Amino acid sequence: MRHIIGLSISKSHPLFRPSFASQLWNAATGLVNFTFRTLGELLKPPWDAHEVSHQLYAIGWRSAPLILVSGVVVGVAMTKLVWTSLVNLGGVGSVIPAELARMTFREMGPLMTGLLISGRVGSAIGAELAVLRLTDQVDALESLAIDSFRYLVISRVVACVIALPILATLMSFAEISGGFLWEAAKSETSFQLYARRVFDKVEWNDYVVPTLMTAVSGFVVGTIPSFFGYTVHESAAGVRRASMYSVVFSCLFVIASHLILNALIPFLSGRSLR
Amino acid sequence: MPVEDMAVRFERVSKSIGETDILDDISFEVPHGTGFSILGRRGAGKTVALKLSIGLLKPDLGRIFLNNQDITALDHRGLLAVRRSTGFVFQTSAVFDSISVAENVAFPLRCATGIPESKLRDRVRQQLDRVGLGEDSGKMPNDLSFGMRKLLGFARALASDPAILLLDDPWGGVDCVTGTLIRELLLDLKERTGTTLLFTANRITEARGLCEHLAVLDGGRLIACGSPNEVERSDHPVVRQFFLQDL
Repeated sequence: MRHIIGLSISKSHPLFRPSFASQLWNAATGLVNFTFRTLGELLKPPWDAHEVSHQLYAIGWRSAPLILVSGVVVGVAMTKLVWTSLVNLGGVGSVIPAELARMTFREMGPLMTGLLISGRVGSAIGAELAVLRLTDQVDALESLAIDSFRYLVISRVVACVIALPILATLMSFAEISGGFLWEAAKSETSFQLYARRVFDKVEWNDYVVPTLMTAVSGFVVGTIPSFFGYTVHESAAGVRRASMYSVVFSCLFVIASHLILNALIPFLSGRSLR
Repeated sequence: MPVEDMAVRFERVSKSIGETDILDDISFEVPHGTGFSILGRRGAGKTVALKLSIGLLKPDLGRIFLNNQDITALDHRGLLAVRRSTGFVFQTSAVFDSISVAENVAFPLRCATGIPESKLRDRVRQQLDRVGLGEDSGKMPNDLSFGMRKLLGFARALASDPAILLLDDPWGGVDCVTGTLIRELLLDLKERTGTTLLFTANRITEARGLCEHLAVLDGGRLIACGSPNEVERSDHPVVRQFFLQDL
């Protein structure tokens, strides 16, 4: 009887839970290895086109309504704040659209998109892969001689890398539209005038480099939840943790990567942004 | 029998998960075209042994040969290549629950063979009819009972005509009618196509008639191995229990 009881107790049993420090160390080294493996596999096309397009639909297309609605709401709120602050300080209302557009393209659009997609897609990827792992479906793929890592992880990462810049563009324009809605309600500005004020001072560099950099957020949003889902060991509690850590850590890494890349933009775009 | 004739060979294999020893110094051989059953109580290490056989788990010690290829020395790509000659039926069925019954069978064929879509549909129908799921091809796996999902797992594993079929507790949790169907399928496979069968079982009655060789695992150790008659002569109390249960 002793060995039967012994066999049923694994390291996941609370009595045998490793220390917090060793869990943290294992997770950190695991994540670093997983990230390098993902990078290595990403550079080895062909990717599964059918699965990538399926994921693009699930991750990109189905996130569009969230991005559009959030963008308009954030645009309204930002314009209201900027307008109130600048006018109180004696600023000129006509420069607000251009300043708002620059802020949107450079900062708010890419960052908000990364955070929203971390929440919506990160939790879904983490939970889905965890369930696939726990129901032996990952092993089933492997037993059918299908590379589960490429099929499940790489297709999701590729889809996120492609979808994020597109969604960030959508978010930026939705925010600008939100700004117009507020401005139109407040001062009855025409759309043509508002659009001219927006694009008068905005340059391609304000849009292209920050938006392309959201591909890095896409990599983060694809890789981190995949790590927590693909490497899950426990049952229901494991799925809960995978889903929660996926959102928390992808949000943190999206913010960190955004800050680092923003600091690098002047070097990458060849000149400093005004 | 020369080692070249072995479909699966375990050489002093040990495996631990966490701090628990699952398998301890296990050796056995499965000749091509024969049936081999791993018997044991729950938690004896049968599933781990089966997963080790196709490299879904890596052993801590020892070597495992699949079609005379040392799979413990292979990288991931090498493992995927040797798995093309095998099929695996999981204890929990492990069917893909986001795609339909027919797609579950078509999926490995589409990935591995690249056969034209019209031929693929015929092949899928054939496989589903074989396990009695022809009428359910459009359903989702969650609409099926546990036994039917197990049969779907069977159809998926058989779709690419594997030379070696590994089955983890194929009779676990299924009714006696489905159990008989599974038994007939396995007998037919063995006799008609010479498929090597390596399966785990909880009862000797399940293994009888299908296997030329038996191995009994207990607490991660191999306590008896040989033909059913040889194993029956063992005086190990756990082996005796298995045969007494059969009376």
